[in-house]
Amino acid sequence: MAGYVIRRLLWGVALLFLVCALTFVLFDVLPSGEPARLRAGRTASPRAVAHVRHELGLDKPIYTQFYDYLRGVVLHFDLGYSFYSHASVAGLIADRLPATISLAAGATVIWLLAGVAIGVVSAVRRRTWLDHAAMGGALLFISAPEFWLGLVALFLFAQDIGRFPLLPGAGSYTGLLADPGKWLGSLVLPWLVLAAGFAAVYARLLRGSLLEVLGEDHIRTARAKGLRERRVILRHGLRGAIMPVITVLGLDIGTLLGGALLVEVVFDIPGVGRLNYDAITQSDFPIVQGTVLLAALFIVVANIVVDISYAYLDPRVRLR
Amino acid sequence: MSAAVAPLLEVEDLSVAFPLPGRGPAGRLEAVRGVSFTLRPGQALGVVGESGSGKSVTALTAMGLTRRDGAQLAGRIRLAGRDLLELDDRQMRSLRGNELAMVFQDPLAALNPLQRVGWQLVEALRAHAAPARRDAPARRDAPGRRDARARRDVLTRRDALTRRDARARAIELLDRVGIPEPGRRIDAYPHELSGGMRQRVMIAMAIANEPRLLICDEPTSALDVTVQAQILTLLGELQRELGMALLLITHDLGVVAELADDVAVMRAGRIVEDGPTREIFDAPREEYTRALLRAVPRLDDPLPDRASPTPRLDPGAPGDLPPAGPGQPLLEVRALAKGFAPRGILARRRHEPVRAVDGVGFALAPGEALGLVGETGCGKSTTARLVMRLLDADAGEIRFAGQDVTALRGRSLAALRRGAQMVFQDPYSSLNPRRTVGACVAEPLVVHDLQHDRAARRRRVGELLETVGLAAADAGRYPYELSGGQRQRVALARALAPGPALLVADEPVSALDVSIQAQILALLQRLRRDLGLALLFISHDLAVVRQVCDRVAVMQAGRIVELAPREQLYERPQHPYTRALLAAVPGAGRDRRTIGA
Repeated sequence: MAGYVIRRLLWGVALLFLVCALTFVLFDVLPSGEPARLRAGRTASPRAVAHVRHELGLDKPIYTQFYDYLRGVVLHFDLGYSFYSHASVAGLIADRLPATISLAAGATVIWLLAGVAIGVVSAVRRRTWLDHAAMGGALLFISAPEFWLGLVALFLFAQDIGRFPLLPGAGSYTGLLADPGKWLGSLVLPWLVLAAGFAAVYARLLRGSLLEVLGEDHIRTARAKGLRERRVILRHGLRGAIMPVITVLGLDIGTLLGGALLVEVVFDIPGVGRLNYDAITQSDFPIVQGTVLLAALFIVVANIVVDISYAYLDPRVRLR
Repeated sequence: MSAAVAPLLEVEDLSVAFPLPGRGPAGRLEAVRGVSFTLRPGQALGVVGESGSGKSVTALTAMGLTRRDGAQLAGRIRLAGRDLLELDDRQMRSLRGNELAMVFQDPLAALNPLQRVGWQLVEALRAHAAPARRDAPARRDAPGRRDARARRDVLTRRDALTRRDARARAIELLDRVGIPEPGRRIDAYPHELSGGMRQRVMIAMAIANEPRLLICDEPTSALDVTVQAQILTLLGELQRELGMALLLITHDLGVVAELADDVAVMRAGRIVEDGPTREIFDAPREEYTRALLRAVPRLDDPLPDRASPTPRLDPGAPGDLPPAGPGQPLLEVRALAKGFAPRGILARRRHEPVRAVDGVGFALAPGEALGLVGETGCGKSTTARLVMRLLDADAGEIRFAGQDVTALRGRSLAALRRGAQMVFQDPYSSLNPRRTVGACVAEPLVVHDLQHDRAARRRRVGELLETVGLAAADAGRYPYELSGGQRQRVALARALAPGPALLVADEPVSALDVSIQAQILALLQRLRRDLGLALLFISHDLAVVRQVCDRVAVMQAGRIVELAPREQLYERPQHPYTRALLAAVPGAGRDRRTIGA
């Protein structure tokens, strides 16, 4: 088991190195507009550009630049400075991260609870009206775009513009440490909107996977032992059926921590997604580069966690 | 036999039908039609029949396990006087795993792969550990009181059997079913145990609560023959020791002969004949029973004539292989070796690769049939795959018609594939379900560029299908429309299409019922005789190999331990392992004076 974990971790490090190299090539080697010129401003003289170029180290050989860049990222978590505000990218991201984590964590809890519950009930009550209703509803939420769902939620429930003003609307985000009550209130709608689509996907996924596992021979054995049906389904069925859900969960959480762009925009939540979005529209490469690296880090870490929990859940995986 | 003892299980006029979705209210599959039998305490009844005869459904219905599939039940199943079909789900559950328990066919599939075997055993023990459990289902409570009682039961159950006691009992059980080092094995996962040990765990689980009736559904069909013998002995011992009644469901008449006092033969949902085992075996009344007994290949069957190696029929498209010279072997294998190492950059290097094939050598003359027998994991299938170049050998030499197979590439490899064809074990998964039989059989003709003209190709496919005993019109059908035996005929037709000189058959009849098996074996014999085919026949079944092959090689742990002409190997086996294999065949010691006569 220890060997397995170490192997996974080494792969993760290798993967992150590759992502670093790729973002470096993408943002520092390939851009047609020269970074130094962008940084120096439109009207800079060739001398000023050369100066900036020297200051940024852009006149050094590529491999030296990459080495310096990698060293900065790994040793000092130095992601460079914004072209516009000259603020440190790492600092900017650190400011935005709590909102993104709040959004992703709460939504994950909601969609997991809802998705698993609906999936199990649908599988157990297969081909009943309950199953049909749940799967029909799931299809609806999978098809509905997040921004549309967000707007509908705001028009219905937001305190400022809603028909039934129950919850704080867009732009009400407050930090957890500043005011826990307001933090909670401001996130309920974004959580629900973000979770809806995921819950629907997970419910369908789990239903299918559980139906497959419930058809396996060892489920018949469990029943032949005289176990209660609840135990047969939860302890014998769900344990095996949850595997594909965990795979997808790792990817989804990783992706969301890199920023839930649409929901952040609709609810005006100052998260990493918004930061990235604004940086893209302004061609602020260091920020884009930083957020891409961060997203990659989250996805790689989430996948390692998935792999390890796989080995925990399925002893046969440890052999591979 | 004696009417004095009250029967334990009485099945009376039992019918089981399953609704077929989309066929309207009348659409139903009648799996069991009016079956009746009784079982006394301590009696062993064998129910034999081929697939689809309703024997498993009968057993599952007795366990109450067909209810949730929407089975429509009629008749009675009485266990110690109580009608099981009238019990509600909760009452039935308290009997399952308690008064009546079941052992299933494939222990790898039947055990939960994600939990340790100890956990699964403890679960079985604790599920029924409430005190005074024998009369629990007989108590009838008002519906309102049920919940309160259920809650109280949970408490008493905890009191009755702690986890630690259950674990100690589980270790005892593992010890009882003959698992070495039970204290260590209790923490093993099913995949860490061998097939035989898994089935022992399964049996330990079934006898955990000392049931009065043990139902075994093909308990040894997934096991090797030596392991099968051990498991059958264990079942017999346990049955006597615990005084259980045994309901033994199997397709294998040898297994019945070993264990059962009485036999019921089922066909198409009905019992066609029943009686004491001895009588049924010695003097079967029904033609079906006689046919079934005849179809089973046995070690003491009269030997069939050797197939003459002279071809009488044109094998079709002539191969462009150089003919093997007189006295030249068609296939020659020397010092063949193949290991499987853990893969991946970071895979642990410490482990030696598993040596699946370790220095195998043999020669096969044109038109000869060589059997490769051995138990699971002995390397017989790997050898077949190496010969076909489906795998690449690590070392050794394979010469087919004088050419070194291991060095073949591109076009010459394609020529090998024309000259040597393979038939696989499972005709259900080895045919593409989305292509018609005709397309499947025609494919080798297209691939090897043997028949350009469409009409000629269609004619050839028709001929091939007729050669294997199907109709030319079957070319338009899909595999799902065919039975297992018909599918294996299609697989044979496909293999014959390019006109091979060698047929490699890997367990070609293991997935088939005995009567179908007999037909396919007869067909193989005829094809050998008519087409002069050489045959490399891989099987775990010594009796089948004896029927088909001229010479037999016995494999163990990647090596050939004995290779001898058929008569010599079966009558004067030299190697101790060959002797052990022969002795383990169920029913081997039984004489059969008049059966099938």
